[in-house]
Amino acid sequence: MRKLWKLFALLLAFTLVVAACGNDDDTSEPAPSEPTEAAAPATEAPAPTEAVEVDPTDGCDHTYHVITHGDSGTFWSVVEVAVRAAAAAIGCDVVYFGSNNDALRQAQEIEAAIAAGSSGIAISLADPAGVQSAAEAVVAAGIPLYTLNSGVNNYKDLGATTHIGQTETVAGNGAGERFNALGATHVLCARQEQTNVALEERCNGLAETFGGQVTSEFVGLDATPDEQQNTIAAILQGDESIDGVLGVGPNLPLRALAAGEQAGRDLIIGGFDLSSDLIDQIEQGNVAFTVDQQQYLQGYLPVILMHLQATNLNTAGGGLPILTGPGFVDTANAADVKALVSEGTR
Amino acid sequence: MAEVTTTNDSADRSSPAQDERLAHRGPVQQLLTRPEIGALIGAVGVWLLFWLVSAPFGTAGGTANYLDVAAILGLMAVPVALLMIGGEFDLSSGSMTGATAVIVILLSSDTAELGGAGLSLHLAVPLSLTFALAIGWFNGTLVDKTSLPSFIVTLGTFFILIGAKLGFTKLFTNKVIAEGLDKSGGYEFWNNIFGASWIRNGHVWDNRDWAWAGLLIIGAVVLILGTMELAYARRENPNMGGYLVSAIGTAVGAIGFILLLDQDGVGSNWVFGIITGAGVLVAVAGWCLARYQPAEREPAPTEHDPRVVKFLIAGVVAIVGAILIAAVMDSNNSDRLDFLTGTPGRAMLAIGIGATGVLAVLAALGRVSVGYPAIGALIALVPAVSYMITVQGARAILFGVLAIAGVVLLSIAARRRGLAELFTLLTSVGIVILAFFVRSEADSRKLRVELFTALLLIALLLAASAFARLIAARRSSAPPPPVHGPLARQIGTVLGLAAGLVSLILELADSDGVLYSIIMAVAKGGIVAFAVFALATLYRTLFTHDESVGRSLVFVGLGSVMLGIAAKLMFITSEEAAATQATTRFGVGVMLFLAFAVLGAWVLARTQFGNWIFAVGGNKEASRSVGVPAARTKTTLFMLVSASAWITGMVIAFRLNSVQANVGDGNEFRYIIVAVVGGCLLTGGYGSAIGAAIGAVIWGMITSGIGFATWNSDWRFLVLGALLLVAVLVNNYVRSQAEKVR
Repeated sequence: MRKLWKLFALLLAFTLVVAACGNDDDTSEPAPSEPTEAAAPATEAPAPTEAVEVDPTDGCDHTYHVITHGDSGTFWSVVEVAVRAAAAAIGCDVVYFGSNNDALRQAQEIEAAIAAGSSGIAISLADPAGVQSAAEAVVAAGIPLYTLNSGVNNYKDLGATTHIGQTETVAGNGAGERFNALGATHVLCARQEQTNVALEERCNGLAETFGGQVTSEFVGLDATPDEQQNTIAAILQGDESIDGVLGVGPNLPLRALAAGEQAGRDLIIGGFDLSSDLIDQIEQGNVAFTVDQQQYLQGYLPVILMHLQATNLNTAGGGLPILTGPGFVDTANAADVKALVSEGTR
Repeated sequence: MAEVTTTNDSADRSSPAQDERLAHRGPVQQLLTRPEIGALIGAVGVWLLFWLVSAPFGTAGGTANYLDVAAILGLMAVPVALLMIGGEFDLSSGSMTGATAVIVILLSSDTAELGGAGLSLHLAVPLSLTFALAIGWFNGTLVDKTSLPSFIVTLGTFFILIGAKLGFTKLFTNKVIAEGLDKSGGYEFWNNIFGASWIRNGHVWDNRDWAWAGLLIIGAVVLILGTMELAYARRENPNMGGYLVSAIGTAVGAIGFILLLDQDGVGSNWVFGIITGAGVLVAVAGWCLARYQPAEREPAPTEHDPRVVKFLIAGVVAIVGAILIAAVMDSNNSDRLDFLTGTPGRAMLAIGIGATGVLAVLAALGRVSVGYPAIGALIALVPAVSYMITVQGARAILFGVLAIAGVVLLSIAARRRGLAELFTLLTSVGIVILAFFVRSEADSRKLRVELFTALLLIALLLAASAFARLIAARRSSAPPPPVHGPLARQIGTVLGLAAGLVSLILELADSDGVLYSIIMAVAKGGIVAFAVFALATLYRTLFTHDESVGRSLVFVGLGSVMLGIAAKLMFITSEEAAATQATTRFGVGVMLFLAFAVLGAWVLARTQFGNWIFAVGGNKEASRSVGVPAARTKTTLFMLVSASAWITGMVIAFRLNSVQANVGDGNEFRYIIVAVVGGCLLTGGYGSAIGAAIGAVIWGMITSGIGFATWNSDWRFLVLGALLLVAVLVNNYVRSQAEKVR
């Protein structure tokens, strides 16, 4: 009996391996480089950090580093793809590292990049205090510093050339104006994390420009999607006046859609960021829009700008941040964006 | 304390009954020593709280909402509770739910477009099950072979699963979401199974409320009869005159009730209400006279118990406090109470925190009793809580808590003086007064009609129970095991199976999905079997001198109450259907959750495997030496948990259609918490499957309830934590008290 089980497990493992390998051959063609490291973090940590060496090429003596606080979620994987594409475009080595919200790891990696003689370093400032000394060391070593994604309030103090990103408040403002145009009167700003400053800022930005009432609530984690849907439905039934929902992530608009059906309400739904299902719903007109901060630019532009500064002494931005959003995806452009999302660049 | 009374029946056996191991415990006391009692009380309290503060919470839609949250949690919490009783943990259980969902989508979704393996779901779904079972087997075997704590082993599996989920998802799709389940081959078939749901709006039944009320009343009556049967000693020969009195009382009560429903005037309501109540009391008194030995008065305790005075004073203070609160606070003020933003509130917060610290230090030094720091914490909590609730809400909550506390304290005092029955009668009069008070001042229909009726019914029940206790003598020994039960059970089983099969064939012809058909068939077969059993129980009660009928009656009573509630939840009247736009649905997850809870309880209580679970959890080596296959039991439990994780994963996958790689991560602690709230010990060997299910429902009610009540979600975990703590403390206290008394 026990032997039978072992055999069974072995058989299963074998099937899985075969399935995985077979698939690898089929899908990896369009990608410029082979992402074989993606499976490696399985043994490391709950949400693994990863370092990807991109496309070593001859003929370029500069190496650039992009060191973020990013995890391996939908959002940051697009940044990573962009970094890789930019590296291919300029023909230089670019090292991407996502520290998964670990400021200490990020700082260590920045110091390692300085020691490696980097020609330009781009970092995200999710925890400005945590990486401050490392960032100052970059400037002290005479290496061009750029900030991306988060850090719009701190990049100047650190001596970075410019910041490439979107301010959450401006993105929220944009969503508020959309809701005004769509005729909503009371919007629920649904958050998928309870203590995330960026998400709060999106909701605050919404409240700044939106003409009606805004209720901002935490509705459950992305890890518990059933709870998100039912909590939104409960809030809708608890307050009959809510006629719009802004989900400040890519999953929440879909949960709000189901919750609206459950509560029997016709809602104007907006979202943040992109996913295939979300774009499908936008295409069908069930979700009105989603705010896209176009993070591809946040990966692509710093590499290009660092390369231009290293080779041509250009400094972009003029002391101001370069905003990558908010861009909007709505019924008008959903079909086009959809194709790009499945390529992993939107 | 009251169990040892002298009766003719057991006079010659009374001396061994002095031994505490043989002492018979009354039905209420048996209930109080159950592991899930704290969760049960907590669930009722939480339900009442949210029912009072929010309109949609008590409706079928609200129930569907929190049951859905509870189901996804409870599908796992029930097997996790079994595993915990077996003495082990499975930390990989949470990420396992997401892993099976991700695997199915990756194996099945289209290769070119979405980056999956492109297998048919007919292959992918069973494959994911074998994967889950293999991981369960791996966990169990590793724990058994190495004797390492399961905490460590499954922590390893937990990390591996999280990493593998993410790694494979990104490898296949280049994203963290596995998407496009609905584009897979065989989707229709499997979606019919895991995506099926009972849509209430589609099931119109205009006479539903009659069935609901009828089943509820029958259930309540049978439940009361069963409890009395368990509690009181039977006569040798029934007193026919008593039956006659009881029949007359029942007739009067029924006529009064029908007229009460039929007439609509305020004056006539009064009259018919009193007639109904009197009829019920007469019926109960007659029934007790007819069936049970007459009670002998216990002499009042002669020795002076100093704690009686303490309880008396505390009880009076609580009641006076409740009345003061009702009188002083504004009942129509729906502003937030909000002490927090003003200076007094902040001072209170500061004083509370300071006092907690100082008192905690003093308590640690042994200068004050350990209860005192809690007072400081309460002071600190008041401003925070005040920010969440309205003035009228605070009034209702404070009044309710103080009044219930006062009644409980006074009843303890009364019981110690041998005046329990008198006090219960007084309480029921008090509740009647309260009911009319609520009716006179409340403005919502919910309070004016529903709460009013509920309070009157509670008063009636209390009065009836006091009557019964005055008339009938208590049992001194446990009732004998059932004699006629098996025959009725066999007939019921045969008829039930037949009905189930017929239903299955009819349902399958409709092709609503295989699992759905099976569940419906089981439900219908179950109802038929239940009806046969109920009729047999009725026969045993009325026409035999079978002393074992009490448990059957309790079972029938609970069953028909459940059926009544189910009828109300599952069917809609055409009137309601016209008035609502909301869609209320009960997914397959909810049905499976309820089935799991019942199955889990049955396995634990009635099967050999259940005994093995308790044995290996209590002491593995000892159980092994008496012949329990300990390793196999534990491995089976681990595989049970991962199989449930597979079911949960399928329900999630077919609902969402696309699954993010981190779905389910971190939920393993919720399962464990919920099981502990339901009465499981972290050390194993003790616990309850039903308790874990109730714990899951509490969690669901709190998360949804905060939304329904439109409370600020920032305070969500404060509410959750406080309520969980209260449930566990109540559990502990009640059980220790109940076991002490024995």
